[in-house]
Amino acid sequence: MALTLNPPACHISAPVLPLISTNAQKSSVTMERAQLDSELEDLHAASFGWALACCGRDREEAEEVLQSAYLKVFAGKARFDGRSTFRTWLFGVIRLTAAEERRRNIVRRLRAAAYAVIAPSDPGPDPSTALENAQRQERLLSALGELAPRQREVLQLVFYHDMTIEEAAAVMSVSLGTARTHYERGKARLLEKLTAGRP
Amino acid sequence: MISPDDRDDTELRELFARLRSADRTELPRYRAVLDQALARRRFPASRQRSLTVRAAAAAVVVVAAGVIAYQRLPHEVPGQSAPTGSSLASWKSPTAVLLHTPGRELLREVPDLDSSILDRMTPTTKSEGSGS
Repeated sequence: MALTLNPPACHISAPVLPLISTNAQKSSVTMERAQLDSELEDLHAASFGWALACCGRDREEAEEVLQSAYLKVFAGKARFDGRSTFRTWLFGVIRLTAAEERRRNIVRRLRAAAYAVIAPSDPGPDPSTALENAQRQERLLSALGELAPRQREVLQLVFYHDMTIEEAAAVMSVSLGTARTHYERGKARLLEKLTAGRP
Repeated sequence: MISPDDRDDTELRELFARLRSADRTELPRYRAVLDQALARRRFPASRQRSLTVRAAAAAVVVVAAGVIAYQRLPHEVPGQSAPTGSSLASWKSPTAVLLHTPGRELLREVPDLDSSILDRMTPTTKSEGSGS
């Protein structure tokens, strides 16, 4: 579900943090904060998945990026202007925050370059199925890791987050045509790599 | 009829759906993330780092100032007074005697071209010979 908020509803006058406000502002800011809080909580799982993708699947870094992104939203440093859906806007904030964090931390950037493969923590009831799933997931992550960053991003947004290419373009701050090109090329390369890695 | 493109899309969606459900198992709680974010805002790691750097720099400055101040202070060794002008002029090194080597006179004078060095070393012999 994507909710579009009217621009004024999402505006928090900086540098007012929702937890610290004057008496006059308190009621409106608290209400807005509650609304933001609710939106962020609804999108939290998807945001975490997107943060993971933006951070080369480094869980710790993804959490830090998410923290910074939430802070930006609550402190009013990132303002939702209603030009897109709240989710698209939030994903854009997370993407930019991840890029900032990566610039700040060169060591982490090097770690992120090695696209880590995570194993599912719940192997499921059938060990052979679980193993097969794990192998498929490993193949997917390995193939994704070999794609160009933009191609990986657009595929993640479309297939993982069920976004349209237009929404993905908005998140990535590129034109629709560019996003479509990355999507087509990325999908072709991903399928090629998945097929090549198949026994 | 399903086109190959649709089949590929379905396969990819299925793979990504599995990845999504695997990610959900590692999902941190929203409140926990938010609490950590607020805690970080109150005392960010960068500020903590900068405080440490500032404290270290201040310590280095204090130590350097202390060393400079100590070096500039006049230090008097007990039992040893400052030498006066006359005593400096008459002062001789305890190892000056080592500079007096045998045959040192020969090196101080310019040798005569018409005479033997032995003549100068034995003047009495020479005068005796000329007199006779």
